[in-house]
Amino acid sequence: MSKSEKKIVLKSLDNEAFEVEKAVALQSQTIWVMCEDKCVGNEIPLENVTGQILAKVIDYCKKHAVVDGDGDESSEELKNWDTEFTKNMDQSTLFNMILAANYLNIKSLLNLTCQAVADKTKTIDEFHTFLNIENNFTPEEEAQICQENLWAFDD
Amino acid sequence: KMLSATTEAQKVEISQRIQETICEDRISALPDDLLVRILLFIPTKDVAATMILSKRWRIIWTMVPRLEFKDIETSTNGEHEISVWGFLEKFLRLHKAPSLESLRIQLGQNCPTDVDVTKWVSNAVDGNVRKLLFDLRWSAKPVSMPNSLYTCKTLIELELSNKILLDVPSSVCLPSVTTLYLWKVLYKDEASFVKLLSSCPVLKNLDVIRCSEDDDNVKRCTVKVPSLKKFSYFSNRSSSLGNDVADDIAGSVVLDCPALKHLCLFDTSRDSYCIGNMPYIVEANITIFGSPNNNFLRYLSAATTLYLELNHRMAVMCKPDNFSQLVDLLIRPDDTDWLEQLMLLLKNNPKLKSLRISSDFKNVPQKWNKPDHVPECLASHLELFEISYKGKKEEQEFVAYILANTKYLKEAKIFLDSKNGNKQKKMREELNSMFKVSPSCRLVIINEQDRFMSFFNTP
Repeated sequence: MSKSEKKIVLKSLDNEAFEVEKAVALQSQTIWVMCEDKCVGNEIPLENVTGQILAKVIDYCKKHAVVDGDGDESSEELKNWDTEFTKNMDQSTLFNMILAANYLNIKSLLNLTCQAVADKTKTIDEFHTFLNIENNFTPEEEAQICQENLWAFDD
Repeated sequence: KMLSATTEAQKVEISQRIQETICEDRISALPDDLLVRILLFIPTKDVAATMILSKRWRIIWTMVPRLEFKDIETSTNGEHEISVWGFLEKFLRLHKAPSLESLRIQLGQNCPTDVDVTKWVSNAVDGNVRKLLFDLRWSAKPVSMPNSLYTCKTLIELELSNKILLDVPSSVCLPSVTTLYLWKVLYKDEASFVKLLSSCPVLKNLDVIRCSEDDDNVKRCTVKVPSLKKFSYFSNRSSSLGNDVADDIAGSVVLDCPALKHLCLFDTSRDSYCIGNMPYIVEANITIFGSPNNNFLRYLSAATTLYLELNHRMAVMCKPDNFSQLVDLLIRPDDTDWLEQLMLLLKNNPKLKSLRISSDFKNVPQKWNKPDHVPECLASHLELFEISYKGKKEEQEFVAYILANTKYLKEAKIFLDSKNGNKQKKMREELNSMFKVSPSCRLVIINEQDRFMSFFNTP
């Protein structure tokens, strides 16, 4: 297919350039619209994504562009790949990946990264430890919320 | 080498832990809609608990549009679980999502019976719900649904189960419903059932399980839905009664769905059937004990997959001009003449690839007449043959005939239906000595006891 051989260049916030096949990049609805709209040469500036994150996003898109449309076995393999992909991401990376997936409008990646955060935070304690969310309620406020919503906190 | 790899992995892990503990809370800085997206992957109960995380999170949980409340089935040791009802009631009072995408409520035996369980259906309708599942198994009487449900414009999927009474008003209009599940619900009258179906102009997928404990007030079950693509129907009502009584109260099922592609009927009652032509049918799975209309099988002729309970009522309809598109045929013989009927069916299936004969009813054939001409499917396409085998003379001749005439057979699977070790041995010897015309045919002989395993593996 000559169509998929066409390459485009994605340029990150910090001016890192990535040359990728068009079919890979077009999984992003945002890039797809940009290509349709502007007929910009073949270099697309992405003002909200750093090179470090963009590299990961491209990895994801490459993997999903290759395997899409194949049989069950590869969809199983793809799932495992997805799990590995997010397994060791720290909070900061996940945060940036979610923002990037949202900005680039890649729905499956957005779901994957949101799911990854959810998977690491099954209990309130895990929310505090993994996400390091600071409890900024006063002890009185906290007691009151618990008191008013006993149903949400009993096990 | 192994050692250094381990230390490397450990290093990564340690550095990660350090990073995790020192990294600041970035997630809380995400916009509301992205936080809601994360909460979509968390069970509803834990979603509510996130209100205690911090001021930022205090109200995020009230914006989550997908909720599921489910009672745990009463445990067998007689212990009573507390119903999710109390939680549900408080949760939805505070919940503020502008539009509710999906609400799933399952209330069990322990749900208090003096409360208005249907108000959450009204709430969901007011919240423009798109998918609604309501399964009520409480100990009280069936409840009517609020009228607003029947005119909900946003509803796409509706599943209602158990203690629910459908009293459908004449104003009913469900313009977006594509999937409808009616499991063991009661209807105020026959007209309610008909009105409900005819008010869904884009319905594609219908799944009905008839109530077996109570009379659901539908004697003639009419399904006339021009848009319907998939229909599943299960009924065992009145089948526990004696035949005479059952015949008296028998009803009927009328199917007029010309666009249907997938049909599954499993009905052990005596209800009679009248179906219309289904020129687009792909897959049909039919087990009915009552009498079918004369053209029943002919109207399913376009099917490529057919699973059929072959009883004497169906058998008389087996004609060679039926099912010329068939690729996959499974029959469950419930009649001793089945072999003759089967050979009639096989006369004109040039595309048949898989022929399976299961014997839930242990009927061995009484007659076997070798056909004058070898059916086309045996000479051309058949690749898989499966049969439950008792070793009777007629069966033996039939299996020998299949093996001797099926040119491209890849696998013949024979299930030995005998617990007697000596008999099994004899049958194996017989089968192994049969002539196989296909050089690449694999003969697999399995004891009937192991059949279940194989059933689970076949689609």
